Amino acid sequence: MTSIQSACVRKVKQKKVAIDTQVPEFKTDEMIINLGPQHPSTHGVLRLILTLDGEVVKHTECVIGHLHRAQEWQGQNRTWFQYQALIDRVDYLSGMFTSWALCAAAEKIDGAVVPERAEYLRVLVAELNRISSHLLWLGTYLIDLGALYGFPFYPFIEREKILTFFEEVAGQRMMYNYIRIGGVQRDPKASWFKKVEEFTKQFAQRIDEYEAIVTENPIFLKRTKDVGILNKEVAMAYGVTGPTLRASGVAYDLRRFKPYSVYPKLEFTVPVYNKHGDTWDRYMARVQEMRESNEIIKQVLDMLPEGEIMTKKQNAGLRVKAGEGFAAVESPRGVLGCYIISNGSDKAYRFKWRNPSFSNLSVLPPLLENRPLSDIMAIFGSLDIIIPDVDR
Amino acid sequence: MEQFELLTNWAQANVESFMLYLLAAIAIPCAFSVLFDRAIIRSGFFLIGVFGAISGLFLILQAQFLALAQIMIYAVGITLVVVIALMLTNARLEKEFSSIEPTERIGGLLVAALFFLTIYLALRSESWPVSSLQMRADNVLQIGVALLTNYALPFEFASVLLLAALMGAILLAKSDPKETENVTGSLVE
Amino acid sequence: MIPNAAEIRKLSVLSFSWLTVIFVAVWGVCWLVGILIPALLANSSFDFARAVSEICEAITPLLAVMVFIPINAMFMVLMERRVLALFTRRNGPNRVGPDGALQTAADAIKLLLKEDITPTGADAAMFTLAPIIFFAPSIFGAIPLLAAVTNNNKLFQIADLPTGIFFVLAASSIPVVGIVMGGWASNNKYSLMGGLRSAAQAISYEIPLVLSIITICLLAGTLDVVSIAKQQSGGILNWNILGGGALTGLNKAIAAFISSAGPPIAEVIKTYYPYGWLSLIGVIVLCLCTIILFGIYLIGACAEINRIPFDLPEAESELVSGYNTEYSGIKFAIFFLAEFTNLFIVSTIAVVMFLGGGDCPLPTWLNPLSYPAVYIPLTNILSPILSLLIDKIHLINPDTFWAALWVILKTYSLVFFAILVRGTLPRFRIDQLMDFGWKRLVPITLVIFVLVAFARGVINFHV
Repeated sequence: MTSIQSACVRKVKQKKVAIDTQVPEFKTDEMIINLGPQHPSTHGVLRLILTLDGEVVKHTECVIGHLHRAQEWQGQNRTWFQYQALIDRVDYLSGMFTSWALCAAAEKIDGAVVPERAEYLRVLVAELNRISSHLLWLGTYLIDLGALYGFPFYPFIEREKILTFFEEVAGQRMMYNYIRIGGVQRDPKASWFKKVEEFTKQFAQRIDEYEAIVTENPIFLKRTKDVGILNKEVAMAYGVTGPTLRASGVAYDLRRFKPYSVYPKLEFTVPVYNKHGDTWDRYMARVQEMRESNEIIKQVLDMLPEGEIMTKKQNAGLRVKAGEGFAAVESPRGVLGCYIISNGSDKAYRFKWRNPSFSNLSVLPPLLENRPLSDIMAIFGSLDIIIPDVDR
Repeated sequence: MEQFELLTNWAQANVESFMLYLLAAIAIPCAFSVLFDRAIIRSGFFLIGVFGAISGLFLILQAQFLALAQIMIYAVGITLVVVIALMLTNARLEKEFSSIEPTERIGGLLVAALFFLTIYLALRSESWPVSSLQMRADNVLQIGVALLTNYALPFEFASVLLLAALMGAILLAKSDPKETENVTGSLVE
Repeated sequence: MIPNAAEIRKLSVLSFSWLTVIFVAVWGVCWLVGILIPALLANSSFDFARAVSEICEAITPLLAVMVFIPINAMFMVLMERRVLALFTRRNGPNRVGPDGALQTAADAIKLLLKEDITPTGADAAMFTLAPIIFFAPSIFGAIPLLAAVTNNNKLFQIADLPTGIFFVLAASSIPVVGIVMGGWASNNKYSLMGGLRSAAQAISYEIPLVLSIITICLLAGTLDVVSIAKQQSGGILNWNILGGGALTGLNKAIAAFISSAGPPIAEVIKTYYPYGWLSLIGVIVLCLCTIILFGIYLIGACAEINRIPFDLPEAESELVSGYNTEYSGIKFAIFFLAEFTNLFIVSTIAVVMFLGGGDCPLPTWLNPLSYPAVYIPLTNILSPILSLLIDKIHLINPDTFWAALWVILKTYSLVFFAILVRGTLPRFRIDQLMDFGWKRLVPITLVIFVLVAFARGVINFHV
């Protein structure tokens, strides 16, 4: 636990020890407070049992499972075709990635080759989805910091455009069911690509706008700088992944580290925004990632080949060969893995999901220790956790 | 109609007495509640009531500035700080303080009686001249001038005392936040 | 190209109609009670009638405030929601009434009819008392300001209040008791924390707030709001925000330069700035100081009334809703009402103390159409009607009208600024807030106080 203490906290502790030798201990009552499950800023139904000394958090216990929907069990009792449609409800902000992980794992078992155009389309929609997820995070994070009105709705303007793209291509704004085993569902019209291209052209400028409002805002800096410092070692020990890990200085990105799909053909950098690994770095990491995703989308639009988009017939009798397979994708929240054992029937024998939010949440209690109550939201929000993704 | 005129005249003559009794009727129960209320935080709020009523008394005496200063500094500022200190030190807010020994009670009663007697005699022995002068409209100016001429020395003494108290408080608070709680804690128990 | 020009236009129409309604309602009540009834009863020989007319005149200011506060708060809530919607590219409430004009009226009715819940284990008496203590001071704190914002209309003159602004400040310091009381009585940990934070914050930020006001009083040489407002008349150069009257000499000099009828410029300058270069330095110091003071006042006021970025007592993302978490129905409505009224009152204080009260910002030498001049040609055209309205039945009082108009305009500019801040900034953390208050604002105000006291000596004020 000592290694978890941030430098700032350690300094305070040293001071206290020096004084404690002179002053006898005075006992004050600690207050136990339930943050959630019904609380405006726990992003759903997470319950934190906090032990407070005044306004300083002494101990945190995360109570999860309020949103448990037995997604793995459901997968074992649904046909492949049904489960495909169900699974992108797990992480409702980045449904493309859950679909993708499932499909990639199933395709590994099948040995099916996905058409190249479908792979490019997958990258395209996934990166769009990554941007939309980060935009929502940006807005809600500012709400967590108390800017309830004003800024938080700006990112939603761009997000709305992306959701409209998805609606056009998948028929749904959030539960897409677009990436299917064997390819993708629909081939978008040419006008769709034009719209996406226009979007990518002006999106960089929009990020500049957001940054102009937020990044150097003195109050924002005060609230996020040196708050919730997550060391490299701690982050890796807890299995933290995604932008949260990269902000701590580990350039771990599946798209680069274990390339899948057509990512090897694309040029992009893995933004490691490392100074300390505090909440401001995590913010910057996500903002950089949005820029990178935008660049990837531009490349994909240029390189998109013509051809088939689906190799497998999509109907209720969809089957996957017997065998087992694992696939992982880099979702906006981190490494999203799916492990499947199939027995060749229309239902899978076993599913196991590796959800990034679960591991990322586990690092919250050590981060919160000895921080004031107001920092809970600043730290918790910066981890970008989706509660259904934790509970499955 | 004559009766009405009589009534208005009588009311005009006695309005200050009315107000005095009204304020006393607020202040005295509040003061007793400060002493006897079980919940100590509520005592703090009653103390604010007492100070408010006293500032009303100042208003009757046409000492507007004093009345307002009383509200701003005593009723809101100081008492609120006391209330906060109580809240911070005493997490179980409804805790009862009934662990006083009977002998201590008798001692306390004696002290209270003596104190009451002293105050009573002091008030009785003093003759209270009633000034017939009308209060001047610019009495804030009067206070200011008086503080810097006739009462300059006591004023300076008071400020030095307050400065010393302030420095002492900083010294106590600076070492450790826990220690200040210790100080206020002893104030409660 | 403004992307939501239609919304802005709707908002302007809505504001204009609401402000007209407010103005007509308040002035109508004042005229009815303060002028019409006494005038009707004036010839009566009954003592009772005389007493009634006296009572009527006495309660006019109170009635004005009590009519003004609820209607005004309704409009302010609506305006805040619409303006925030503008900032965030939304539409805001637009269903109830034309363009949503009656939304807050509907909300008010809903809140009045809702069940009033007292939580289990709450201290019922304190729980009920808290909103009252929170709200009542804003009523009687607003009364002394009435005369200042209406160009000393005799309806609103309160006899014998030499402590004017001090009275308002004392009144505005009371609401925090209500917050602490409500927070404690709710029997809720979030509420308690909200109350504690509020008390700490209000006490800390009251010091720079009061110090900035007192510095202005030091410059003005009086505590009386009416005379402070009067001293600033005659254009923006006389306003307290620009040196607190240090530029009056400049103003007079320019006027002398333009008209060339009055005393020569050199003489005017000599009268106001007797020490040459020293006076110039004094003027510059004073101007800088008062502008900084205005900023400090706005910050302190924001903290005092718990607006973003200082809304820690009701920080939604941390304390659910802070001290008013457990409140519902009418009690919550009163909290809500008082919050917006307090915003309006601190803005009015800023207008009276810094921005010249009901004074037109154009200097008199630049303003050939000063309001008597506007009003005289108008009277020539509409003389029969206007003379009836103005002189006979006193339904229109031009001085009061123009002053009130300017005050409303300036106050709502400040309110708009507060909304703009709310739509922009995140919230401070409590320790950062206290640091900012005690380590920055208090020393700065103290230094400015001393500077002003010295700089005041090298300039002649308000001669």
